[in-house]
Amino acid sequence: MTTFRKITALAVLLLAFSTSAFAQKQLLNVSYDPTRELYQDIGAAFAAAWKAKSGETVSTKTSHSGSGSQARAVIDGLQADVVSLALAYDIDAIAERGIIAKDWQSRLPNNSTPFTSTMVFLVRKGNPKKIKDWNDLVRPGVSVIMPNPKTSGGARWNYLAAWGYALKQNNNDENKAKEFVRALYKNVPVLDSGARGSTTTFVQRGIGDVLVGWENEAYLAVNEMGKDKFDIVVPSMSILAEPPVAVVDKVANRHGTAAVAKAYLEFLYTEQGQEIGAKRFYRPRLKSIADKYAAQFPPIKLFTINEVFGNWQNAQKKHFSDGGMFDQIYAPGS
Amino acid sequence: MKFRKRNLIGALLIVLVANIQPASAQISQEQFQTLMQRLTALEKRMEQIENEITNSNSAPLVSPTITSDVAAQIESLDQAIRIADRKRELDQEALTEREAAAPVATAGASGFSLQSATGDYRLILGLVAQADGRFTVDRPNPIINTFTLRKIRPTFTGRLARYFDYKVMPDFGSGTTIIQDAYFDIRFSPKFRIRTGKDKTPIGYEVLIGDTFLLFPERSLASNLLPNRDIGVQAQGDLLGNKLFYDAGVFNGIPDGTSLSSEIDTNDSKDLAGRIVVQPFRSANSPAGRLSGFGFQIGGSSGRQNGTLPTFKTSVGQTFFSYTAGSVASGDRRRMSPALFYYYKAFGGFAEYMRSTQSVSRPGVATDVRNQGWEISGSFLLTGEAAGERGVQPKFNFDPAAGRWGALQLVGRYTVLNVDRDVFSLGLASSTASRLTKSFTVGANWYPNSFIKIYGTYERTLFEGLTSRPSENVILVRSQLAF
Repeated sequence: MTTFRKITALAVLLLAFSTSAFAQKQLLNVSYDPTRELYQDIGAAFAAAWKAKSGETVSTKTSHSGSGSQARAVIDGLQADVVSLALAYDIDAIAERGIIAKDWQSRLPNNSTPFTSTMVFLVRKGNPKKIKDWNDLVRPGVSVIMPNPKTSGGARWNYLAAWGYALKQNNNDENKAKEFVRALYKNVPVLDSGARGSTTTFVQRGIGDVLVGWENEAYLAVNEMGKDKFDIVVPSMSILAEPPVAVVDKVANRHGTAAVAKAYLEFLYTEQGQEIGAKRFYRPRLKSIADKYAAQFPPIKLFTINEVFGNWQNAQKKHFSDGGMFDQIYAPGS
Repeated sequence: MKFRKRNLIGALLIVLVANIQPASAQISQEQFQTLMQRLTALEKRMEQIENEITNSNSAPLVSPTITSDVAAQIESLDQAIRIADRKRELDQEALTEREAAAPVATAGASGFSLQSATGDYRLILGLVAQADGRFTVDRPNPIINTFTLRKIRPTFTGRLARYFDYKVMPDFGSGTTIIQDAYFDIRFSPKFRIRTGKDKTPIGYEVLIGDTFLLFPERSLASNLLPNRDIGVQAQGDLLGNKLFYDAGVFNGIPDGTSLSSEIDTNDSKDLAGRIVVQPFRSANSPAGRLSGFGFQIGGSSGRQNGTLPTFKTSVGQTFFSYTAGSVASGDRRRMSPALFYYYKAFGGFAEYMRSTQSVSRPGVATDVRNQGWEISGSFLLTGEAAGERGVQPKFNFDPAAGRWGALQLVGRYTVLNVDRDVFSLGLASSTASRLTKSFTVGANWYPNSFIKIYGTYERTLFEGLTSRPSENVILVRSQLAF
């Protein structure tokens, strides 16, 4: 037996061991802060549907934190099979590292956003500060609760919604928009790192007059803490928030979960998946479910990020990068 | 009277407001609780006053405007306190996160290390230091009675980027400086990792027991037939719930009983070497079952080597076999070594067989030489500790003031090395070479704690060869520090 043949035989042996070593059967969905309840329901429903379809047992674990922090964790090696983050920019950041395919947004319908949402106001019962629209948030003496745009995807949607409103109210005058948003953050006494933290600040700690946040999070607070404690105020306009999803190709391929991860995300677009989302106050894409739940989503004039900011890359660079607009207008303790 | 109460509340509020720190400043939990209690008491008192005013028939002495201002101040004060408390809560969360992410330095009974919070990056510092005393009882002296520093080996082991382990171990003992181990592993999973660099060749059982865990100061005569450290690439892993360990790789190839010292090979041929260790009853349960410490292994190597041939030495370094000048390795070399081992409670022991076959030639002569050896070793801990391949953990560390002395172990070994008769009949052996060498060793090991070990052994070695050679009777004493 020549040395070459021996080495070849050894390599085949090693390959056999390595193949068996990588087998895994569980999905990890790394998501943003306020989706705990949604993906808990989705995970249970998908497991049953997948079992009925394929006979395989699949369990889903979820991880939640600020969207930007979660993207960083995946880049740093968190073994996510799928990501469901607050904004496309965060998934793009992962894709730039080659962990997710660059064309991730075109692989599922609606730019890979199975649900939409928007940003609304949660105020204390009876709305004692008479808050009706964005311009009420900059009044002196109004205390506004929002998370930090540097760490929270939802906070970036808040910021951009306020900026967009100010532009539209001031004939696209950026200076006036800047002053408006500066005044808004002057009224923010506490910046939490994520949307769920801000809800805790407002709802459980009793701080502030108004919480600006995800529509689904506002409804969750009202339903879970009692309708006698809070009211939801829908502003005259807000931003169309599109939280996207994607399979983390490199991890899923390595885990051997690519097929089931894809099916998990496709399940979000099914009638069952869309209805679970609607029940958790995410706005469904599927018309039949959207019609069914139309009454629970008040009409609101929505503008998209592309309309006002061009795209996420522009918005991120201009407003949230180090030294960007947010850093210019916000000083801790101001 | 009511006017005085109003003034009193106003004064208290002023005092309270004056005492509230800015939101960003630190407020202790006790201070905060005190403030909240005082605020609650004030609110109750306010309600009482308002009720008294409402129920009074006389004209109100406190105007609604003033009451509203006071209420607003209380509300503002309440928010300030809540904000301060929440900021402190968030600061505490951030501090906890920072602490969780902070590197960890360890210095204690488990050794000395630095590592990141996740354990993905670590450096473990270690040291093996052995000071020996070698004395003969023979006359004339076959060796020089001496004290010596046998091994001085600082060790640097650790991990990088979660999946890459490394070890570097130089040795400054015995008057030389050499790199003994220098390798890194790529860890794919516990079942599969790849090691590249210099490490022990995976064949023999005793050779692969860590230097600091050996029952005797030096390995057996039979281990002369197996290679020690070599450079190459190997794969290893634990399978079947750690009941089966495999290790196989490609190495430069070195003569029996030696370690690679030149760091480069002397020919193009490479050795394949590997071993499988099976412990069919191994269990993590405690106490261990009677058979959980039972196991067996088989290792072997195959290659084609030309050039240097080995010499065989006793524990104290006396050469008892060498080939004649002009003899060289000239072709296939194969080794094979099965072993049985058993550890149960205070008893531990193993038996191992080694065979090394090598094509040898000198001008006019060529033959396949088959050298064989075996050993049987046993140990018993008088102080009742559990025996094992990974050393002894004394039940009680050395503490003379408390009447505690550590662990004491008795050891014994018999080993034989048998050189192929053809080597002698074909004139390939040197004139002083021994054909059959037998050695018997008894001794005791004292473990004051898990870092210190004192060996004391007596070893008698008998030689049979072409010429008569007196037996070797030596006492070996070793003081070892290892962590």
